[in-house]
Amino acid sequence: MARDSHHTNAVAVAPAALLPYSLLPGTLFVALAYLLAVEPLPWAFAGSWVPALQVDFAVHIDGLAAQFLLLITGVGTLVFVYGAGYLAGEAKARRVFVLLLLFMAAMIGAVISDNLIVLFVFWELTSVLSFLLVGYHHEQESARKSAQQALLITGVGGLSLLAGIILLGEIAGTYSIQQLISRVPQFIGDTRLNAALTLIFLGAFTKSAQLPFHFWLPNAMAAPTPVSAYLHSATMVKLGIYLLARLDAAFSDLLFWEYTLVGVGTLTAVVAAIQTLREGDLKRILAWSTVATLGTLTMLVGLPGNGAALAVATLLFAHALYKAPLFFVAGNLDHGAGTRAIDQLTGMRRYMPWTAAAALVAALSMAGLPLSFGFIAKDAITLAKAEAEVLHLVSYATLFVTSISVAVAAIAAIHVFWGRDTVPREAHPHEVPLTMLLPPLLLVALGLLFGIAPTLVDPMLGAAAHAIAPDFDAATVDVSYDLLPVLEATFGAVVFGVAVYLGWDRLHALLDRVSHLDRVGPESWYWRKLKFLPRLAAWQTRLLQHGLLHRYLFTVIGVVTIAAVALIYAAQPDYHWPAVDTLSPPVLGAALLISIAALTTLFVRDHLVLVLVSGLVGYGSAVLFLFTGAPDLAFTQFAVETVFVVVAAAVLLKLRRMEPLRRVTTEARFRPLALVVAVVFGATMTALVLLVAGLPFDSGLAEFFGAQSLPAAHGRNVVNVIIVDFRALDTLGEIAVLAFALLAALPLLKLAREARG
Amino acid sequence: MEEQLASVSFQVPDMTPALPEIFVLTMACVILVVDLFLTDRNRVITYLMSLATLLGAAILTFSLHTGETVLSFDGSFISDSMADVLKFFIYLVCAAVFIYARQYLIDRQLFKGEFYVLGLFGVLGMMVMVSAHSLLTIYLGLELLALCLYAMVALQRDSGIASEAAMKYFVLGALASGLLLYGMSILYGITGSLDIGDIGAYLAAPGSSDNLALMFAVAFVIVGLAFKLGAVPFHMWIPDVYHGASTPVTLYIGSAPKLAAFALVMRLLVEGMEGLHVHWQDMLIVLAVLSMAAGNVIAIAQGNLKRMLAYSTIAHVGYLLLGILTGVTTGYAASMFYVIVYAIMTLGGFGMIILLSRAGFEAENLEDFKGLNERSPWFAAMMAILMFSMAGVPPFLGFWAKFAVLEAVVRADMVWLAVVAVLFAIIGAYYYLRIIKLMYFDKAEETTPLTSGTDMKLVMSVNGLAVLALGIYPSALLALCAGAMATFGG
Repeated sequence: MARDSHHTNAVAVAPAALLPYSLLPGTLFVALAYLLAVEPLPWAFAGSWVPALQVDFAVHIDGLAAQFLLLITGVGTLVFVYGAGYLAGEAKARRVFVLLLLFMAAMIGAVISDNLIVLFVFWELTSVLSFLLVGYHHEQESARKSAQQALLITGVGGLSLLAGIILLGEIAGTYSIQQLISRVPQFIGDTRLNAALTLIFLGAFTKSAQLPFHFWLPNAMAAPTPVSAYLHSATMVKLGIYLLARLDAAFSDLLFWEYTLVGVGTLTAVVAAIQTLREGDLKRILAWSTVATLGTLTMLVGLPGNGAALAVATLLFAHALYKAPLFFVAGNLDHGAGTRAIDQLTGMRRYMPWTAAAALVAALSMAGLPLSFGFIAKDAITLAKAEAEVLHLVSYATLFVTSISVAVAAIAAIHVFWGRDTVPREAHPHEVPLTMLLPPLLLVALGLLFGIAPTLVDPMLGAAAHAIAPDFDAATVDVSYDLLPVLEATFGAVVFGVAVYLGWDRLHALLDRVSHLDRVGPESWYWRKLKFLPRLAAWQTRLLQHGLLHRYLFTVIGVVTIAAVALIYAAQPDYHWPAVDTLSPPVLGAALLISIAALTTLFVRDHLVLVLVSGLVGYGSAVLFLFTGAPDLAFTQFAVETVFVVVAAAVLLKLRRMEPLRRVTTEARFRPLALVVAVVFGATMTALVLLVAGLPFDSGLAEFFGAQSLPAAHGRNVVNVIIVDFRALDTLGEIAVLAFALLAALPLLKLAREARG
Repeated sequence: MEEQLASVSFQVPDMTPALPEIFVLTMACVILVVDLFLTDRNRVITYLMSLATLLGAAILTFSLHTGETVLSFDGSFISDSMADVLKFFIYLVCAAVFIYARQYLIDRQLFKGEFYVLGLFGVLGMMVMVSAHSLLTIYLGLELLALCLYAMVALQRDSGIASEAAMKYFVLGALASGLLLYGMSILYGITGSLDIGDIGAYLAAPGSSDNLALMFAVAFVIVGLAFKLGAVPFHMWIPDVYHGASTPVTLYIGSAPKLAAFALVMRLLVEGMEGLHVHWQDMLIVLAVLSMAAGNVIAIAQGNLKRMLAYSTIAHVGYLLLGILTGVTTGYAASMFYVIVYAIMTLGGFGMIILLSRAGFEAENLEDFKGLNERSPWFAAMMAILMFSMAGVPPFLGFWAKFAVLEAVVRADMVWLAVVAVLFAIIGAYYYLRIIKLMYFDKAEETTPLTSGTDMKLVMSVNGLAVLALGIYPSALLALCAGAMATFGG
């Protein structure tokens, strides 16, 4: 787990050299905040990109997009500042920063675009960039595997999302989200809608680590901490939630939408909460608790009612304010104490007091205790659930998940920093530099401020909730709440959470004993599939790509035969077969000669004899021509065949003298299946010839040449006239080819003469 | 009788539309003769003349381009937007092939005139295929190209694997040509014409397609086309030939001929047999699904990059067919876009193998790409762009191609087909991304610096960046394809 040798690296980059990178997101954040203060939402611009495919670069920024923009640029700025300290001294630090900047741009693109396809483009970009960022420590096998896993899972989801978007676009007739929402009544009954939504769910669930794709996120913790804090907590993993929240305005009335989201979200939260208890690495603990929060968010998006919309906005904000600092804390511990294993980390407050302070305040918020912004979020969730009248089962699940959050918060703050320092240490833990302290402290301070004075963020949360649920009146937001139910809920969660915290080690041991259940979980399924595919592929290769020509031919002819037979069978032809004339003896003889010669080639192994036998086929055709009214053609055929046989035989003899030909080593094998295919293919072809021969023949050309031969070209031999008169240009071309061939032979002859002389 | 005879009189055809073809033919003959009198030391003249020929042909095609459809040679030759656009890309792709090939051929004592002359005759064959408007010209172009390709595969005479590949290619190719010819002759027998336009008009008439022999014609023609394209189950030649041929020849076979094969499909199936769309649609669906499935799955097992790209070609052919089988103009345009994009990406993929190869070393195994990022970050990035593009990841060019055909299929109400296509694209993404993992995350086993010439490196960079730039701004190319397909389909 320890970070690799960052003190010894040769090409060290000083923190000061990396700090300027944070200017870009910082400036963006300030500009955005200013604009939000002066310009009323929504902001919309239209731009064209690929009109042929209805892909326009339309920008639509409403409350939800604005909230995401603030998180992306705000948390982004702090991540860059933090990274300047964390990655200082590493050779590849600049690359990480450039990738992070590109990533930020992709995130911004995804949340501002109104066109679903454009959103998808940026969505995929974030996957690709995260792949490169997660694989940063690629010397480690685990980092490589995790990077590949994250990319494969989100990539698979991305492509499903694309299919879903295309289908949804086809149903709605537009890719614009705003138009889609306004057109919902026109297509809500479409039968293909559920298919489209299922595909979109797959995309969103993979991105936001929902069951059963949840396992990639904790594995992605192989990434450097600033990357984890940014991608895997504050921004990228929220993109799935963003998309669902975006589309909620259109589909919240569908039961399919509600049940799927509430069901999957709740299950994810519970499973992730249990998984949290099994981890010993602080960062992975935080990752699982992020998955639990994402599950809660999915559940909230699915819940009907305006309160749920407000709860989504509030929890999104609260999570960014406490989870990012906690990741920073984990990074600080890694940096200052050299480990993230919680059984190695106790009593760290003496060495790292500022980190301890940040951890404590963040943990308060995570546990949802009063005066923190997490408390406000918990209040919103409680109200939303009351409004939506959720099942008791969901309520209990939420209570369980929040209790685990309390326990995790206690682990991260109390156990690590205030626990009895009993672990012997080699190196002395030390506090981290200012660049790594400021970001978490700033974020937790903001959390505290908004927790005490929540009205400060009313407008922002109201606008976001309005974007999720259009009939939500943003002006009515007043985040000072009905205190009694939330206090009750908090009390229950704290009691249960403290119990979990105290029994952490025992629970850990207990869950270790049931770890064999992993073997049937989705992650093991993933690994098995990953191994299965290459095996399937190898098997297919052996089956189809054996490299044997005769089997290839067998496949081609077999497929053609099957197709032909199927066609005949399907069409049930009522054809009049042409009447077969009785064959004259010479024609019959010619046909026999051809057949026998053709069959003989199957049994002859000697090349010379093969040439002779194939000559026989030619002679047979010549006889056929002779007796079917084409004597001149027959004579030409005789001449050509003779010359061919003589020349081919001469070449073969010469070759044989140069080097004795290898005997054909493979014995001809009898292949019954091949025989069947050959016979059926031959029969089909014969039937086809007969079919075609039965069609009326257009004799126009023959009549033309016959009639014009004498008057136009003064020749009685029609064939000759065609060659030298009617098609004179073609003949000229052929002569030219011969001339070229001679020209090419010239250097060869010269070479031969030189060789002799 | 007299009037009929009078109408059949000899006219000198308008040669202007065919000027590019005539130019390439003349130049190829001239180069053939000139090369005979060159020694190995000044063989570069052949190379430069070949490039000049392609440039000249491009200029001719461009200056003759009117956007109008012109028929010549008694209707057997056509010059339209599709022909011009495809020819232009054929020149471009072949020029890149010639440049990529130079250093490789020199290193292996294969830098002879044959490669370039055969290449140019192959270009001529492709041009004829693209502009053919009669069954005869189609077959003429097809065979001219095929014969050049057989010879090119066998160019490396001492290599057993190359000879074997050439032999297989020839035998299977001859069989496929025979089947195609068979289908064509039945088509001619029924419609009484060789002219694509006449055949199209005959088959468009209602009731004309109720003919069993016609079904056979369609089936045989499709078998021939499927073989030329490399669609499953007529694909077996592709991996063996791609693997056996020397890499520049593989590059040549894998790229430009697919453009010509696309034109072949458009001329025969769409222009000639659109009336039979319901019949060939089903056959194409089978071919497309099988190709996408077999291509993408089998590619995973390949350790040889050339074989992997061969299967990737097969899979791409499946996607390419998706657009055509919709039977509407937008679908055709999507497929044309796909095939052009495919040619550009394949060019880069095989080009990269050549780039990493050097005398005595073929960088054709996946392992050879390990840690490329350490050896050359720039070309690792180029390869990454190409692989992402082939996998269909936005914003690279390949994404738009997949998107366009998928959209066409969904619009044609074949949602299940789109879902199947996406499913196999997902499987396909796995092997492309594996190469990226190898390049970026694995330790380099080879540490020799890249030795290729500057021209090669420059074109390779342009190639890779084009995939990125065209991906960010695909509109122009899409519009080009839409314009070229405007006269096809209804």
